[in-house]
Amino acid sequence: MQPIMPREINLKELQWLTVTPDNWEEQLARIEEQEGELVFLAMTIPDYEVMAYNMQEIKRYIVELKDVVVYYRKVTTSEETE
Amino acid sequence: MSKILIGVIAVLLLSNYFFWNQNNKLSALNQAFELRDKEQKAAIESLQNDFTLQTNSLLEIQNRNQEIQQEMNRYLDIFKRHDLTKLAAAKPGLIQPRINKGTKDVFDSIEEDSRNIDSLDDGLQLQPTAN
Repeated sequence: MQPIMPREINLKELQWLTVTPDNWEEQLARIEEQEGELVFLAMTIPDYEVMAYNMQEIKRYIVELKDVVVYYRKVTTSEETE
Repeated sequence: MSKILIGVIAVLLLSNYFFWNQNNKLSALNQAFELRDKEQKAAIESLQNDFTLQTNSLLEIQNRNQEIQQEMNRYLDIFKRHDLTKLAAAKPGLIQPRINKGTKDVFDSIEEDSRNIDSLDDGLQLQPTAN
């Protein structure tokens, strides 16, 4: 008897805005128009790269853990059917 | 003379009965041993098959882990090869959609990986789909 697998991940889309000294006014105006007020969180490029690395680590872990789950299901299912 | 003959016949009959009895017991024992041998061979074969399955599966996992790590290194190599800060400052209109596409691609691949896990039990779910 095998446990029910967890429901698939359902991520929501997000949008990054690249802000430079040349386009910051335009980007701020876009934010204000989109959200109704000028409030946002900011991230530097190096921190974005760190976040990208972290996302890859999470993805790696999910895939490796998935393979372990598949292994255990394969091994225990073949033992159950004997 | 006839008494000796009768005695010999009696001995022969008794020894025949003895050997016939022994033969039956040994046949039954032989059958039992053959059955046990058959069962043990089946058990050994089953264990060997399980061992082969586990060994092959573990090797597959090792290879997959190496592939995953290589894929991760290839992706992160992009940041090593390019100075994203300079690029974003020089061409924000070019970088912004690429970053958004990159983020979407990563999210889509994570969703796809999780979908493969969910499909292992034909889509049965404990919890309803999130909105």
